[in-house]
Amino acid sequence: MLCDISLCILDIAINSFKSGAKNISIFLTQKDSGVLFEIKDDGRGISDEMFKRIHNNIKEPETGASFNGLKGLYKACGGRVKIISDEGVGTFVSADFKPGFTLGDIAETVMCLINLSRQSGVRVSFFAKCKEKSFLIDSERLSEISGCEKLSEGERYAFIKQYVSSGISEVFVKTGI
Amino acid sequence: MKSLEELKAIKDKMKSTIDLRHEDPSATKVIVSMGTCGIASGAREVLNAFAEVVAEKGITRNVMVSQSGCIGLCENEPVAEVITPGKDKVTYGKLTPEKAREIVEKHLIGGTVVDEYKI
Repeated sequence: MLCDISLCILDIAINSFKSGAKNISIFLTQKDSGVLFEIKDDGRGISDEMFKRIHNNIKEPETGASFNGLKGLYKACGGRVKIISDEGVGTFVSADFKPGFTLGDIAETVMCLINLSRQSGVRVSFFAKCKEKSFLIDSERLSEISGCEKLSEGERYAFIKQYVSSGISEVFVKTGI
Repeated sequence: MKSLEELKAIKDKMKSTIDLRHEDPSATKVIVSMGTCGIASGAREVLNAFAEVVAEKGITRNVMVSQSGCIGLCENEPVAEVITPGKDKVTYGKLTPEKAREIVEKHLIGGTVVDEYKI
């Protein structure tokens, strides 16, 4: 059982990496009514047969379709999960969490996705929004945010980490999470 | 307007170039197990620590940090495998970001397996 939303996002996003996706987009929106999480990938998708098995809570890690964590989380927080998938086209998952469920360390999850993106060549974009504030990071545009200066690998990593951490904390600052 | 077949062919071609770009046969691989069990035990922080220290040491060309699914060693999570071409695979367990740093320094740079964390 994953204990917060940030770990749940990572668990679901890992499925997208495993699905052979080349593009993964994640949206996280915080409202008074709770947190909406959406993820879209262009991976191999889920067949109808597999879809039924997911609903029966059978774990199939090889297919990148292990949604048990999400379903368990849902039961606990009283939200809803929607999965739309087309074999060979991709998968869309949306989940809304009722207020009171902890967000966890979103910045750490974003860094993890960026690190995985770097090694796998998968493009990851992450969009976070709360009221009028928003933050977007796209793995293909990281060179733009680290500027034209010649940074060492370590300095570049530290810069991106700082950028993500300050961006995320600015978006979710007033929510008391 | 390209046909669906043409677009698919372009996508496949792009995929193979991307795969080639990231497959350096001489690179050492650090594979962090990122199944639900791993994530729940702290694999996220461990993977980030590996990536951070590898960048800090300037060895990203020689070391690839990536993920795998659950490898069936759930009681030892977070788990990471170090695969160096021509050498035996080393599996480390019950990792923390601090232990990950030590493994990069002693094993990946120094060439000495950290027996203490081996499983």
